[in-house]
Amino acid sequence: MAKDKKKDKKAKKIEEEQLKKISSNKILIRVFKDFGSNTAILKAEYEAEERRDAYNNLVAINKQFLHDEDTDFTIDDVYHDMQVLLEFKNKDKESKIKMLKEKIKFQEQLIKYLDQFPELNAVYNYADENLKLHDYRLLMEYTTHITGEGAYFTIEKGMRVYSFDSVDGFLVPIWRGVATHSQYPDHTRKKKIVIQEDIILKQELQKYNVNKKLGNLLIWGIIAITILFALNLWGGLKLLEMHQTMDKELHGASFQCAEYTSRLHQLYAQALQTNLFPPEQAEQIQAQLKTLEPDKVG
Amino acid sequence: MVREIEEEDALSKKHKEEEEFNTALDYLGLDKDEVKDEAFVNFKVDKEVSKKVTKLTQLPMAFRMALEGKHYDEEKGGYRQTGKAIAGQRFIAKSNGILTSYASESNLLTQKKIDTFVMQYADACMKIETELLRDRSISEKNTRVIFKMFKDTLFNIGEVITGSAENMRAVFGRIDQERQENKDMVNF
Repeated sequence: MAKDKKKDKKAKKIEEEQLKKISSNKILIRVFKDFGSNTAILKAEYEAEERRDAYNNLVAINKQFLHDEDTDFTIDDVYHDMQVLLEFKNKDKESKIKMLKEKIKFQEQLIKYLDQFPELNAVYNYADENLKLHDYRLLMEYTTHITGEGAYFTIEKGMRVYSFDSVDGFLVPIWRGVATHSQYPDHTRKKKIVIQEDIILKQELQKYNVNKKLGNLLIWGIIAITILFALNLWGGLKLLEMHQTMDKELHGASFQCAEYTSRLHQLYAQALQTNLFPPEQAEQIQAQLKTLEPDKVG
Repeated sequence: MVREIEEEDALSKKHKEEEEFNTALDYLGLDKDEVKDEAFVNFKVDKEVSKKVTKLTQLPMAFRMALEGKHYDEEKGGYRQTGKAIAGQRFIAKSNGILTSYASESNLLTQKKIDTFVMQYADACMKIETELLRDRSISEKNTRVIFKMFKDTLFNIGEVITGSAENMRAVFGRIDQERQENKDMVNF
């Protein structure tokens, strides 16, 4: 007895620990392939991480298996709308099926007549009536197989397990009903249309987005300014170099001039000392030399 | 002798068809005269295209008739139900509503310019495209056909409103190219 109690406690502990994992974002995915109506073969089993995408939808991702699918499934409006229109609320399953069978029979006959006599298409719209038949058939499948109570996942070892049926490369989620154990392909088409519309709208708006255009202009302006600045800098350096070379040449000429004038002064001094001129004239020349300004030489 | 037999056969065939038609009417609870009235729309197509107003009113009507499966009967001068509708009544009403807003005579008075019409044209095409995606009554094989029909009709309306056939042709090509580029970017 004591041993059994211990075992029970251990089992309870394990269960509690496992239940804590349910809220984690890791889920187990099983992909089945249907062969006929009753045989389904397990093709793959792998873990995936649940995340929210850019549109806040729940998606499960496994990069290794290239799995990127929705896990946030919703039942299509068809079922809700039709159930209200046919007043299904207070009817039992059998009467619902009976009613639907009659509706389908009438609809099939009507389509047959519409195909046979084109004049009748003026009263009934063929596309609408065909859709109605399709909806009735869907609702028939729904009422016979699905009670509405159930989930898309089961819990195994504290982990949520989502099963998919692989149909031509598409993964169709499998509904786990309480009363029945049937498959129910869900519709995520609507969500995809919304995403597509969003992208197209964004692209359309981008064309008329003034801020972005201004931003582009600013970037181009900055690029142009930097190019101009670089050119200016290069030109300035080039000018400095030229100025320095010209300075050298100019300085050389001034040195030559200074040497020449000093030599001249020496020559004049020698000439005065050697009494080349008469003394009166020499005095005059000396006086003139004193008053002589540099730019008037020569 | 052979001719007589053939005539008799034809008569019996016709009689059978009539009988079947009557049983169909009984099954659906319809009146024969009522159906005949509904199956014929008294709308004459004016071949004088120089009249802008008549052309404008004709274009959306022709589009509607094509969607409803009615074809023009030149002998009687009206549209007669000869085929099946390719779109649901809800879509027909919506698309026709958009087209009639463009085909209004007031657009002729305001002398619409191409630049403004181009934006409206792209917007209307987008609207119809999403509507086609959402509408479950339209089968996939008819989606493209209906979209092209709508584009052509609106294009023809644009020609009349703006009074510039050559320019509209250029615009038509440009928008198509842009939409193709967008589609290439969106890979689903």
